[in-house]
Amino acid sequence: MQQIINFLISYKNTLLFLLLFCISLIFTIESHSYHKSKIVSSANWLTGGIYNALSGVDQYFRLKKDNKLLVEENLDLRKQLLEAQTILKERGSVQLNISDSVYELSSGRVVANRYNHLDNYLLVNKGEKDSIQVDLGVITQKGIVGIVEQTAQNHSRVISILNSQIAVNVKLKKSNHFGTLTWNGENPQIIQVEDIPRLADVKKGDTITTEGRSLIFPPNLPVGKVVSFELEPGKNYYTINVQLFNDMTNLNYVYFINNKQKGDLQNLE
Amino acid sequence: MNTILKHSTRFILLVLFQIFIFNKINLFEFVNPQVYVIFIILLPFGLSHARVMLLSFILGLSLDFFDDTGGMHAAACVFVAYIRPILLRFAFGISYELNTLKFNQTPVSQRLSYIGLVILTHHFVLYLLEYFNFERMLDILEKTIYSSVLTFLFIILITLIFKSKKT
Repeated sequence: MQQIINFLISYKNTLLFLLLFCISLIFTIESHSYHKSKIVSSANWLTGGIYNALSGVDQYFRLKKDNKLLVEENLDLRKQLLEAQTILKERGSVQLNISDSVYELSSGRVVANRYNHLDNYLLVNKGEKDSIQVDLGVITQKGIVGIVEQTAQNHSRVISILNSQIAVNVKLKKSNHFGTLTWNGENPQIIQVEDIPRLADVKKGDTITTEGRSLIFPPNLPVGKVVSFELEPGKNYYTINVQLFNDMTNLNYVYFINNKQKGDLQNLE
Repeated sequence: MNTILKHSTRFILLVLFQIFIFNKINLFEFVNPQVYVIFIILLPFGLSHARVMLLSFILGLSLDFFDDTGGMHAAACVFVAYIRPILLRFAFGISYELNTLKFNQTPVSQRLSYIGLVILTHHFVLYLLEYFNFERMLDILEKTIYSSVLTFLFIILITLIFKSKKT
C-alpha cells in the first residue's frame, strides 16, 4: 500500500498530464465524428452571448455592404415574382398560396464564422426558442451554407460545407448526374464534388445544384460552377473542383429551410 | 493575491483577443497566429508543474469552446505545459535549475529559443490533432510553420511592448 502511494506521489505530474491529455483527446475524437452530441461547443449561453455581443460591432461596419446585398436579393426576387405572375396569368386559374408550400423558411445571423480549420462550424443566433431543429438546411440567396448540427436555447451550431465530414447530395444541373459534395480543407472558395460517373459530360462552367433527395435541401438550389475536373485513368468517377457562388468567408444573414413533410417521409422509410 | 489577479486578467484578455482579433486575421485564408500561448510562456517559472498543467488545460478548453475545435487546443496546451520544464532546462540551462530565473532578465537568445520551442511544439500538436491523419503530414507541417512564424512575431512584439513595466 505504501509503495502504491509512493508511486502515485512520485509520478503525480505524469499521471495528471495523462488524465488531462486523455480528456482532451476524447473531446477531440468526439469532434471528429459527425452526429454525436458534443460537450465542447460554442452553442451555449456564455460563448454564444459573448459572440453575439461582440458581433454587434462587426455588424455596424457591415451595414452598407448588407444593404447592397439585400437590395440585390430583393431585385432578384421581384424579377422572379413578376415572371411567376405572368406565367400564372397565362394559365389563368392557378393562385399562389404560400401556406401550401412544403418548405418553411426562417432567418438568422451568423455570429461566428470560421473557415480556417479543416472542420469548420458556424454559430447562428437562432435556437430552440425560434424552433430551430437539428438537420435543417442553411442557405443564403446565393447558395447553400451548411446543416444545423446542434441547437441550444438561443443559438445553433451549423456544420459548414467547409467541413471534411459533411457530404451533401448534388447534381450536374444540365444532365442530372449526381455526386457528393466534400471539402479537402485547402481553399474556402473551392469545394470538391466526387462520385459523378465518367459517362457524364462535364465541362468548365457547368452549374452544380443540390439534388434534393436528402430532404435537408430542396432540389435545384445553386451551389457553384465547375472550374476544373479530373478523371484518373482506371477510375469511373470524376473529381471536380467547384467554385462556390457563396462567399463563405463573408457570411452574415442566412436562412433556415425546414421541410414540413420530413417527419412523414422519414416514417415511411 | 496581486499575481493571481494579474494572471486572471491576462487569461481573460488573451482569450478574448485570440477569439476576436487573432482568429480573424486569416492570412492566406488559413494562417492564424495562436498568440494566447504567451500565457503558458509567461507563467512564473517557480509555479508548480501540476498548476501549470491545470491552468493550461483550462486555457485550452476555453478556446475550444469558443472555436468549436473539440479538445485540440486543450490537448496542445497540456502537452506543452507537461514538457515545459524540459524546454526551460534546454533553453536556459543551469540558471533554470538554480531557480534564479526571471523572464525579463534572461539573455535574449535563450529567451527567443524558449519562446520558439514552446510555439513550435504547441502548434504541431494542435494541427496534428486538427487533421488527425498522418497522410496529410505535409499540410500539417505547412500550417505549423506558417502559423508559428506569425505567432512568434506577435509574441515578440507583445513582450517588447510590455517590457518596460517590469512584469
